[in-house]
Amino acid sequence: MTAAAPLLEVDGLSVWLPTDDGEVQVLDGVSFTVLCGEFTGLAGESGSGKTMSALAVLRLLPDRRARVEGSVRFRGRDIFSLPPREMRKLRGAEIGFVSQDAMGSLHPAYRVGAQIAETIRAHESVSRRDAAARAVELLDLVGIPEPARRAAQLPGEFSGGMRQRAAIAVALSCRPSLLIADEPTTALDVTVQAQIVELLRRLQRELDMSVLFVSHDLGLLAGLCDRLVVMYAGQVVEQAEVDDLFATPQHPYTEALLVASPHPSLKGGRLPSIPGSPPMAGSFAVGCRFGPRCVHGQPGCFEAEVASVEIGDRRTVRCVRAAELHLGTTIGAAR
Amino acid sequence: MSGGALGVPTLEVEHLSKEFTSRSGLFGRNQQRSCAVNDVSFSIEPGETLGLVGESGSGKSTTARLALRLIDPTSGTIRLAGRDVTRLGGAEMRAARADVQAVFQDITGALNASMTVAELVAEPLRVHGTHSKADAREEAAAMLERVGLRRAHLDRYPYELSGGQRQRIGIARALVLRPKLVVLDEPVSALDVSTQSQVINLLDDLQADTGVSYLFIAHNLYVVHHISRRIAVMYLGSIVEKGDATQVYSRPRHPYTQALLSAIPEPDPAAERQRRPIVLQGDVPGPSSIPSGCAFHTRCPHVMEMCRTEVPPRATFADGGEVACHLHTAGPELAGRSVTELPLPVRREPAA
Repeated sequence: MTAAAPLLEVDGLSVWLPTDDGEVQVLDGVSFTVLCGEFTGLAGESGSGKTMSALAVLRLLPDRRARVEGSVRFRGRDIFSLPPREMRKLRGAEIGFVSQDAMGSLHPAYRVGAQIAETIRAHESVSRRDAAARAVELLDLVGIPEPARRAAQLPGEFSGGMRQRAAIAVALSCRPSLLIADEPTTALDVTVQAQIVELLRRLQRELDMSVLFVSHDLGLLAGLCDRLVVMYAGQVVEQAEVDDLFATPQHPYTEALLVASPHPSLKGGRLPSIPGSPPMAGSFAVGCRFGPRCVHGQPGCFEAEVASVEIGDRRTVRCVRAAELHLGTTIGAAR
Repeated sequence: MSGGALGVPTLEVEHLSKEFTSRSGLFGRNQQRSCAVNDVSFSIEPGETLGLVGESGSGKSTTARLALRLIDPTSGTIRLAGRDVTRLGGAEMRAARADVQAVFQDITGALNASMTVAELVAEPLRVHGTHSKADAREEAAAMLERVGLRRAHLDRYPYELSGGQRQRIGIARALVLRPKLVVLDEPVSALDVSTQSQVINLLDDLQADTGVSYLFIAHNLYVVHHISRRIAVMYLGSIVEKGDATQVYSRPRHPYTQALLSAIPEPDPAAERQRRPIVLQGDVPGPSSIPSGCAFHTRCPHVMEMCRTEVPPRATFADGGEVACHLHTAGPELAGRSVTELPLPVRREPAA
């Protein structure tokens, strides 16, 4: 990987969504950067805000009354100050998006090739014929056999794995410099997941794009990412290069998640687990939000909001006891 | 212990098959048969867990439904604690069902939203008419404590609980009748990593306490490996390999088992960089177009000529393992050795 310029800079992003009982804060001061050509993972459990962060970057928050603070800059431009027309140009052309539900992102009554060509023609002035030809090329690029025949079929005639490939082809149709993939393999079987993961790895290399990959599966992220951003209860609790994060996690939540993640040496005995369950937006603890479930919790953890501290080059942790805990040494022992 | 007499398996399934027919065309003249489960045999001893793994379309959930007699098999027999229940009628089957309970993945859909936790957990007792209303509530309260919830939860409604707590309610409902067997179909797949292991530990504890047998179905192979003593691997309706959990995981005999295991990512970047997954080509064929010969031959990296035409025989070995693959009787004649000993053929890169 070459030393590269920042492509995406998320800085102090906070989001409040309106509900029947007033506003609920779903993101709190989220900050991270994605460099050109970098594969970044956004990890967390349900309600952690990982999908919300991805949607905020696309300015596709689920409610138009959502209140936003902080900034998201793409190639230095603040996307929240862009007029809607400019934002639409950015989406699709510069930032591609693949969701978990491939069937939901493809129109069931339009031929797959036509849907890819439509995206191309929405962003570039090319003839129908050229766009159709490029659609076939893209299907070939994402590893769909007999692309010309497949382009003329409907999404319903595709299997689950092929639909996700087609959705990736749509996302890549205008050669975006950033691909956001939100749990793209969660609905797929493991052998098909392996195919899609290999495809994303190859495409990222060949097209030299940046990827922001949202997932709850640390095993999947371990093999894919250069960097990991770990989220909990709407906040980034830790971010680091993937090797550092796995070898020496600094946040007790990261460590607990690593130990509790299914891995091959599990056999017999009790599984390591985290007590309680992840909190939902609106019911976060005062002070450290992981505090109530943390084995290292002390009264001091609940006194004030815990700030995110930079402890190395692009490495942050949000834990008041991080320096004294020496986490990570227990991981090998736990296995 | 509520298990059956010594030596009598809790569940014994022999040559179980299930065909579905779909009709299309004018007056449904075009009949298409698809085989969801094909000649499946296995048994589960008292207090034992059998893990059933496979991808979508492998027939594992259909097998679970057959074991529960929620659907009727086309052929084959199902014996519960030695008693043949394959053809039991309505009332008799309902009574027998007190011994076989189930927990499904979509727990929220399985819990009636307008019933309190106490009513939900007591419902099986009421249905089977074994307890008065007051006794049933007491029993429900005791069961609730065993699954790690408090008495305070008794008068709550499902929407007031977290996903992990709801799954505990599902487990309490399944175990309150003290069944001999519980069929667990993806019981932790919908849960977060941090709550998943709590539920697995709970299932382990309950089994140690009550001697209940589990048929455990999941797509996460690490979880199945942890909880199961024996494992059966299904592909397109058939069991391709069966054996002791440790043997199946460390020395798989069937190329499909090997590929399935190699496809799971590990939460360790260094191990991930070394891992060379066997990426199978294509998708699982549909149940109405099961390939001839060995059903796996269209995706198998070790495919031989005979695999395309001849159904592989089932070979059994001294360690109790079973495999249906020609590699063990012909070609390299592995004869029970692990398929990992075979060099992998050069992989075809997909067209770039």
